[in-house]
Amino acid sequence: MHRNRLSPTLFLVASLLAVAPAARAQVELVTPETVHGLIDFRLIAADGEPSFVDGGFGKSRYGGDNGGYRLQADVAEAGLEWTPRLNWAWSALIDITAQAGASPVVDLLQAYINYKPVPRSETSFSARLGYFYPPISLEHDAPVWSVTNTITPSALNSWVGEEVKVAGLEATIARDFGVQRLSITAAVFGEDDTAGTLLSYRGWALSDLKATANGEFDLPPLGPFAQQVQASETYSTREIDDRPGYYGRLNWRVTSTVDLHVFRYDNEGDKVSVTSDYQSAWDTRFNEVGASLRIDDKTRILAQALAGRTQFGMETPQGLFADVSFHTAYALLSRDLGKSTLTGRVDIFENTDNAPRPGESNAERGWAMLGAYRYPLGRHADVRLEALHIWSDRPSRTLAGLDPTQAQTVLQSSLRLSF
Amino acid sequence: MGRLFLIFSLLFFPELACAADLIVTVRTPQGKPVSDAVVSLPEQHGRPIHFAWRYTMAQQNLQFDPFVLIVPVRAKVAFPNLDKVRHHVYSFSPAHPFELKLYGRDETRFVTFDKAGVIALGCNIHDGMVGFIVVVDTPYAAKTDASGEAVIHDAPPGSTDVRIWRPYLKAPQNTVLSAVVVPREGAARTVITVGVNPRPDTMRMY
Repeated sequence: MHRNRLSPTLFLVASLLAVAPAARAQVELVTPETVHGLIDFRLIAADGEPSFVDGGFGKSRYGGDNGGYRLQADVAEAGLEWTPRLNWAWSALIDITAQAGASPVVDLLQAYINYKPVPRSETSFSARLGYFYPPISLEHDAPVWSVTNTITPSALNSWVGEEVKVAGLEATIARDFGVQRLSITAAVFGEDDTAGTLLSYRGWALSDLKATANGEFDLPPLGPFAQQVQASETYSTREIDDRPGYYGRLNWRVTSTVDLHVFRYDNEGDKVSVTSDYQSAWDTRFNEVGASLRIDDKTRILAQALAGRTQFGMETPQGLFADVSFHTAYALLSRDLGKSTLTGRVDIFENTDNAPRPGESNAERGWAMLGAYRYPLGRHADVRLEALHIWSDRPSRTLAGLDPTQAQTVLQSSLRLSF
Repeated sequence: MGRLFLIFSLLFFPELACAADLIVTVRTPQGKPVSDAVVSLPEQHGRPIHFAWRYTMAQQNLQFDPFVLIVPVRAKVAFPNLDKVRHHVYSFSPAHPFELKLYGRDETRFVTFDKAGVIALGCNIHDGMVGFIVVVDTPYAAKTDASGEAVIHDAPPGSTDVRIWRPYLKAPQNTVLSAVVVPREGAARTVITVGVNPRPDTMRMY
């Protein structure tokens, strides 16, 4: 069964049309505030193994050719964000992105309507309905779900970008207690049943390539057992078992400078539903914690950690078809140097295979270090320089005739124009 | 003739006999100046109050300007939207809850504040916009400038408590009281040390 991947968009547009006539006078469709865009020109020098984008086990978006540095130039992304306002409480967000190396190149990234009535007390309410990223990443705070000070997100948020996006209904209640603010978010969702596929068969990656409504990611060479149950690609946005999942988030702004959150996700996959094109309903659940700390006016620390488990298939003497526990964490320090910003980040990641088949374990472990420098060229352009080093050990690389242990350095420069 | 005028003046306007300036400097414990602090003395009479500055809270560059505005009770405050985008200004402060829908066309709306108190302002469209209107029932009020200094002209003489209020002050109700003695003439200077929390971040979360 190949479902129409544009169904969330059509649903959204129908919702907009239903709401708009009641408030036509207040509609703000196309103005400088409602349309934003970006284009990202990239120069890359990467050594080590080929990228996962080319069907390899590589851990970065741009890889080498198993030798010395390979130079590449790319228009990495062009994105458009439209945030029409229907009246004073209702708005919408539609993100369209064109990503080099993605399949398809141009696609829908997010589309939702947002309801946010004006607060009448210290307690405020908001809700959104549509196709969106759950509120996990502390790194993505720019239009078209992009990062601010680096080029490459952490392993944690790279995975969110690839496999943790939902079509659902989310509501948030927040209450201020002086400077402190407590907010609770809950959501029910579908269209995320394949979450865990890429994380199991390919493993963690550090990549700014984002899942889209019709998008697919090629998987690396699969072992004989996995080939029987999984296609050679995975679609990130799929509803397969018709069972809703849920997530919840608790956020506490402790002081003006300290913000903490905890997040719980469970897609409630039934583990056994499989489509005719071999996409499966994985049962994926994880807990995540995050902290944002402002040390002084110029220095900020972000840290997030995530631990979870993903399972698929029937019980066999060797366990489920796939059963992977996953863990990752990062800490990021950014420092304003007048106009420019310097950022350093450390990532660790690990998968444990709870049902390994001989020769095709999904276990892995690794770490990454990143240094980035961002220099703004006025309001609508910036230059970013980034050095990323990734080390990882993944036994299943032997399926492609590779050494299980790989190290890679990716040097990138980005010229990002935005409006 | 001059002496007669002075006697006449003191007879009918006794406060002229005791006009001193109170100069208050507000600093952090690290010695950094604290701007936007409202310095005030208790009310001494019930006559209408007028301040020298305009009672205007503009929205410009997606910020409230000024960050803190002092107005007297019953002041009619202008809210001009100088941005090209619309703003949905609101306050749920008990002293005067209100909301204004301001289109980005240089539109100005007005609100009259008839009770003393602090009006915290927000914009429902732009979460990062925060501003404060402090409605006072005393003519003796001033705001610290970038150097942390505020001058209350013609302050009444005697011992009194000067009140310091500022957003994010490290004190209950964001308020600190400090005893001062205002002389009958000349100027009194006082330095008040307060802790200030940074302004909370507003993260754009998708």
